[in-house]
Amino acid sequence: MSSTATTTGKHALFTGWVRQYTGELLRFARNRVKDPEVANDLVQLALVSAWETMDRFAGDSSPRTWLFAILKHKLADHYRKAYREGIRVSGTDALGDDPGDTQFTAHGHWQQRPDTFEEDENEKLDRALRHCLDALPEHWRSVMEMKYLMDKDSDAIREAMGLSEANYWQQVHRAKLKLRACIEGRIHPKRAWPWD
Amino acid sequence: MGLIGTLKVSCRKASELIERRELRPLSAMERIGLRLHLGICDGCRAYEKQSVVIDRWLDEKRDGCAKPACTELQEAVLKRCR
Repeated sequence: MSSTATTTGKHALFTGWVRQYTGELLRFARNRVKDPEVANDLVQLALVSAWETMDRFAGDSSPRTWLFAILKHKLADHYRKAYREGIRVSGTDALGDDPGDTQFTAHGHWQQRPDTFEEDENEKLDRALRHCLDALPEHWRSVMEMKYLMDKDSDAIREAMGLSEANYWQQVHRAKLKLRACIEGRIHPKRAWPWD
Repeated sequence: MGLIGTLKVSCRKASELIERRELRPLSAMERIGLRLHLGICDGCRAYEKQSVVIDRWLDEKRDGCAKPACTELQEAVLKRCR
């Protein structure tokens, strides 16, 4: 087979993948970064890098799995950078404010007892979650996203972000407190949290 | 401080333990303390459920994408990769 024919075949195959998977890849990225432009860039980066390394695609996984793996690498790079940047911007206190200081009394009791999120409020909950995730400070969002991107493999996440174990779960805890209060405030506005 | 005092867990501490146990198994004391606390505290049981809802949503429930943007992106990539 001449090399032109191989290149044409390769390009046809790649075109097929792009047509088939871009939508899914983009949806995945858009749901995981705040700025849609950044999501576009990351998907584009991932696809271009797939094209460049296509010779190494052995075919032992599906192209879809392979493309998602590349995209996840690009997302992880993004969170790492965003995390460092977030820490740099928020100053020397790597942990940021502790939402626990406002959500608990001095004795450690809830200031306002949490409410269960109702299952029949799914659509409301979905909107609230999206809003509140976008409202999280950048470094917390990055830590949370890394957690789900890396399948909750905490050692790998900590290593990638350069976090100690104590630091990691404290950040997850604080981000979770912030998220839950924000969501509750949007689902039950009459009980809105004064600090959101 | 007696045994009860050692096992006593505040809501703030309980919510920490709920997050931390996902990372590493809790100590026996922490496990018992958390279980006792959850047995008597509505607020922390609600927190536990909220935490699960947030986790599940972040894990699998996100969706939605604007169509024209997808097509534009496809074209941009295909133009670059020749």
